[in-house]
Amino acid sequence: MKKNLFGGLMMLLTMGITLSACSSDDGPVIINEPVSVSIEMPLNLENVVVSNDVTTLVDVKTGETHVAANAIKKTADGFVVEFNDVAEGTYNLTSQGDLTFTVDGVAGKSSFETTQENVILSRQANTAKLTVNTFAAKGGFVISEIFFTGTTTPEGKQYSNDQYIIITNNSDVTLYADSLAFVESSFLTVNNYEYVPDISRDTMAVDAVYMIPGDGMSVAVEPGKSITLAVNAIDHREGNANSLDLRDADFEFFDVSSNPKYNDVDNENVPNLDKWFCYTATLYTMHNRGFKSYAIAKMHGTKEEFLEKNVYVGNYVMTVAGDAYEMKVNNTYKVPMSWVVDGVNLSVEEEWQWNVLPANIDSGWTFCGKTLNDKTRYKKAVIRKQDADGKYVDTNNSTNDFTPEAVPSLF
Amino acid sequence: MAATPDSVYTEHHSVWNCLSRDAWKNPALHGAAFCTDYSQLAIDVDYKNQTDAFVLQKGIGHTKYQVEADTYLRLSDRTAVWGKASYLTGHNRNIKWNSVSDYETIEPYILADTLGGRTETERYVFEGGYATRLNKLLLGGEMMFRAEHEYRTTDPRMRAIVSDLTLRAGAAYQTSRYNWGAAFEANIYKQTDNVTFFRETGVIPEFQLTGLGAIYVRFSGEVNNLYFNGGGTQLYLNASPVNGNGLFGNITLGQHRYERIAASLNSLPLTKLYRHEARLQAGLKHRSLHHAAIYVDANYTRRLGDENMVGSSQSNSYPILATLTMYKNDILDASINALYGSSQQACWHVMLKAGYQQNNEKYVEPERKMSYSRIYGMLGGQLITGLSHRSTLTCSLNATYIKNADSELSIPVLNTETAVVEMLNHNFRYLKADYTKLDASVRADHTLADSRYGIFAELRGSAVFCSASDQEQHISLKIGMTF
Amino acid sequence: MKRIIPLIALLIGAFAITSCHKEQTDYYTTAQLSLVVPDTINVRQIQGTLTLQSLNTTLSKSTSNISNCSFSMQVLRGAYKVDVVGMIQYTTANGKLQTRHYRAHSDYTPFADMPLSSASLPIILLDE
Repeated sequence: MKKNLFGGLMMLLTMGITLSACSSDDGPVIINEPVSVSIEMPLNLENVVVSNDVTTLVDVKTGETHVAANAIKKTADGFVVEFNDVAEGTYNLTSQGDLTFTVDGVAGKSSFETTQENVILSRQANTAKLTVNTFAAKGGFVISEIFFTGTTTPEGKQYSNDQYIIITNNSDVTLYADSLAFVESSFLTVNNYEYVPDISRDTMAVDAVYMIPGDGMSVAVEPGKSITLAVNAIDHREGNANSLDLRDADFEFFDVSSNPKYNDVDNENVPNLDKWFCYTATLYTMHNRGFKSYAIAKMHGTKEEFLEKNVYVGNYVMTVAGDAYEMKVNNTYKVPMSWVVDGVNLSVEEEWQWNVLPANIDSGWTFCGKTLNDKTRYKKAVIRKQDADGKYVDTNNSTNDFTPEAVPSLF
Repeated sequence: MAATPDSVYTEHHSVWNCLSRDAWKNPALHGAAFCTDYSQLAIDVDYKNQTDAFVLQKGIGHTKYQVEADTYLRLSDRTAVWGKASYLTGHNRNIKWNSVSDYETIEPYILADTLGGRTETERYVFEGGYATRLNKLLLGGEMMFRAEHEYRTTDPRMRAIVSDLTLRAGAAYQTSRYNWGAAFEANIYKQTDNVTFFRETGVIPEFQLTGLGAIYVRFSGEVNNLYFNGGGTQLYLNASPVNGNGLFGNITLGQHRYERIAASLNSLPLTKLYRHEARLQAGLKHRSLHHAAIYVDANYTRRLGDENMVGSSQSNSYPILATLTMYKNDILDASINALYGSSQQACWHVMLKAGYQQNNEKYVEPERKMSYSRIYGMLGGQLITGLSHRSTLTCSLNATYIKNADSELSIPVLNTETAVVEMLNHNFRYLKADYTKLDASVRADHTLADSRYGIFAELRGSAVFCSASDQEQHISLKIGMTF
Repeated sequence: MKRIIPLIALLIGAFAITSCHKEQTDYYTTAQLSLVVPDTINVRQIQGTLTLQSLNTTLSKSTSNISNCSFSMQVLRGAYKVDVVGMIQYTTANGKLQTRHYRAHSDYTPFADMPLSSASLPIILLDE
């Protein structure tokens, strides 16, 4: 009896070990058939010819790479590239190369790059499809640099008066910057409150409007050239050795302060922007942690009409320690999105909650600084990337279009 | 000429008792464990150091000081009481990727950062039990409470406060040859954690880990106030021979759960860890002139982690869209043990153990896997001998060898932060290594003349040699009084 | 002895049944995203890439398989940020054929229903 029970226990134990030890770990399973990646070209392009292409599959787990160079073939179903001996797994796919095409009868060329992440390839699912979106750079004025972080003084204090923004003519013809206004979003990218009414799709809620004055043909900007708008067009190195000389700016922000202790300095050699509205009664500076979005908009009508008709009347819901409060939106005006020429969302990784500007103006965001009070953000700017012919990249996605935390160009 | 060692001391300290430790978890059977009273008051200094952390989350070592009082009193031949109280203080060195306490209990659902550092620790333990016999029925009850406080005095300043209460009630029925016991245990566990930074420029994100390097990105960064609510129950079944000779068996079944809740997000539960355990110890023991025992010890633990997929907050209340079991962990440890010895003159025993251990961990999507298995063997001995008619010397020596049989680590490297991949690779290097461990301890007890008081000193040391060319040294010194 | 073994088995069984945690393994759902096209246009051809980024883990998954202005993809249940970019060829009310880029975006869309979880987004036609 004792022997039987004991023997039974030993058998149970052995069985248990064998069963649980038998977690068979197979090696990688190779997909028998070739993996077929099809590449769909934009609808509006005809007579497409692909050259210098490189298509890559990278295994997310092992980092193993399959590369196919000059392997895209044109078939009856479109452009296809095949890979052999691919193991089952999750892959990042990238394809890049050059295209020649005709669009509306006119010949053109462009390069393309398209990526898809975390594509699962297996014996049952051995195809993938990539779509090429050649987004032609838009012509016109673009914001090419925003230096919003300011600098620090040698004693370590914040110094925001040396902020500036650079606007560039990204087209091939001379354009006039008259009536182009610099606007700041009233809402922050780090607080996604419920706003009622929600106008964000077709109207931008702004708390600062500073317009370039002119009669319509006074401020000419040649193709590729830029104008600098400085918060203060003075030599800042006098008061702060770490700062720069902005006396050569094209325009400056001038505010008449309600506080006699803080007065704005007016450089008489640099024209002032026409101030339509600003939320502060003292001196304007940009949000130096980069929590607001900025845009340039072509203003219509007079200042008086705008201030009378475009007030934003609304509320938002704010929660503090678990309680919800309905707050009134103050100091905010509406700018129709159709007036907005270019816009950039700014935020920081740790705090980002939403993009204040809609996806067709900016579907991404850029930054100087990663955390709430990033002390390394000073003396850095966001600068729009330029492609090989010197044109600024504008795919309406500042995550891709801008270099974050860059060295400001005017230093 | 060696004298016979003190019989009270031998009864309480002989390694033969390790056969019954599982049975003594049932308070009714613990009441019948010893015939003699024994109490001990001691202070203890414990130092451990590893040349490189075997597990980053546990640090490279500690220095701890403890005061402990321990007693077992036979009130009559029917009733016994026992109790323990201790206070421990000290510090752990170089803890990384771990901003909580009780790492082994609640992992992988912890808060962690890349910096870590030294932590100060304090622990209070109170235990008490009572057992009595009514004819053939043994009854017993036990309570165990632990409060622990762990904190750091430099950024990132973590603070963890643990309270852990366990209540046990047990009964046993004595037939002519066996004590058949059953006991039930309930546990309530709570831990609160928070991490603050005094220097604003040094703020780094605290990650909510969800298993094998996966991070709950949405709530990582500034959600630094967490608490864990948990507890569980356990069932013990025992069959123990009355005269100490014969087959014996102990079965333990338990389930525990620990929920991680973000205090600053309106008490949003983020994850819940479930732990199921089954343990079997069964064998044959024989005690006459010589002692001999052979038994198997098998332990199976299954840990499952549920992750809440959280929706968008409306006025700071977060709806939970789905709860998915994303983390699974199976651990098996089975060994066969043999014990042989005698307590005629000196009390000596030799032990032999051979076992197999396997640990499989998996995270569902994106798929992450870590597993290892090892076989191990241990040879050891204990000698309790009298130095004079009032002094006793106890020596023990153990040598263990652990050999890795199989290991696998599979992580989507491209989808995981580099620092996290380094952390996993570091820990894995030690999980799949081979180890040689040597333990030795020496203890001298001396009974003071004409009294029941004694004094003692114990020195323990161990050295672990790892095939990944790192080592661990562990020394502790304990001195105290017995009565 | 004979009476005790069934009792032991009963205790173990009762404990196991009441305490075992049921694993939640309904991990995946088919996320269906439909694009809402303005009434004023008649779609001739549409192409696009849908990218879903998990709000929990920030991992992205994409597909370019579109049919009837709708994408279908198997995803882990949860909350996602949705981005669609592509091109659409259509005829306007007065019969003019136009090809334009379009975008659709949502900061938060839950895909948690099973077996199918649907959502729809209006497209924004981009100026050319």
